[in-house]
Amino acid sequence: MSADNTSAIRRAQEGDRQAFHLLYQQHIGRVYAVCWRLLGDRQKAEDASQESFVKVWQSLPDFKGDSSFATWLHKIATRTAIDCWRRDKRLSFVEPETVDGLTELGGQTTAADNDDGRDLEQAIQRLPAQAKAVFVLFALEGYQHNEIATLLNIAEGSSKAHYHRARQLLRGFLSEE
Amino acid sequence: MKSEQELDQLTAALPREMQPQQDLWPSLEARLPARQSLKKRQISPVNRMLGMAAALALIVVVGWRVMLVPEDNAVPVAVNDTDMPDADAVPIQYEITRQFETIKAEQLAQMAPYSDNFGDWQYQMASWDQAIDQVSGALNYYPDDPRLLAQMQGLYEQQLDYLRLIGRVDSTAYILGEEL
Repeated sequence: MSADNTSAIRRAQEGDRQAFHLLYQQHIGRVYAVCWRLLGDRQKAEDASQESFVKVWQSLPDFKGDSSFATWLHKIATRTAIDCWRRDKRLSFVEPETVDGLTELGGQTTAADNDDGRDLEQAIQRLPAQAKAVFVLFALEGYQHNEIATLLNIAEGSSKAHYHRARQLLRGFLSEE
Repeated sequence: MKSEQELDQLTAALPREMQPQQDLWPSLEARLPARQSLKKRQISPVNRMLGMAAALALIVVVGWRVMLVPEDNAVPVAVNDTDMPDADAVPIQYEITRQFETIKAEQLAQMAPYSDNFGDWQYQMASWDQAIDQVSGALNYYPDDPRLLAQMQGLYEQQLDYLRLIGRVDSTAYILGEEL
């Protein structure tokens, strides 16, 4: 953690909004990514991202530096996104054409910058809700199955089964074209 | 169908970050609740003096109330082996009963039947009396059982403590003029 970052965290803990803006700029990319991938909707992802940062702001006085700030922040963001995902969980498949924001992804500077990447993003959004959540958390966010089981309130074995199923489905989706 | 390796490669190539289409900061900033600074608040010297004076006054008042009402002498009734009477002497059970009942009678004679602060205190006393009777019944079968003897003495001590507490609180209220 750089000295500037440490200073920004300390000032944000004391209520400095400018310092918090700096932290927001540093981390919004990853926060928005997990929100978007779990929720598959631009508006919901924006709302969840904002909610995540509000929680971070409220919890900042309790941040003691036991883990890295990024790890701590992304855990809050992931939990927030999962809460939104749980409220919004739909078990039906979502057609790629109807996935809000997918066509915009190509134009974003940090989104998948090739056809294969875009196809995979679309394929992930076609997954069933549980399989999508497990895949995003395991393959993209780096959580372990036991952690995912806790986050999603499912058995660890179910998490592994959902991941296996997600991979099978993704391979099939990507071979359709 | 894509192979497992191809899927892994595609997954690894996905960006870990995405930027929202619009800047979320302006609306986010509006949602941030105000937060007190974490810096420790400085206590002004005036407030510090007032706090110390209040604490001192509290100590004086509490000390005055405790000192003003003397506590009755405790009744030492030993049940250990060294104080055990001879076999021919009066059973210790009755000795305990005699001593405590005497003091209890003196205390009760000074008390009103109803306490302003404790209400119907005789009800509570009756509960202890019932317990004492039960222990006494057991002692008829095991007259030298030290646990039963200690239990009986403990029950009597609780009764006397309770009576003293009632007397102390009621008389303090009178001294403070609450009944005037």
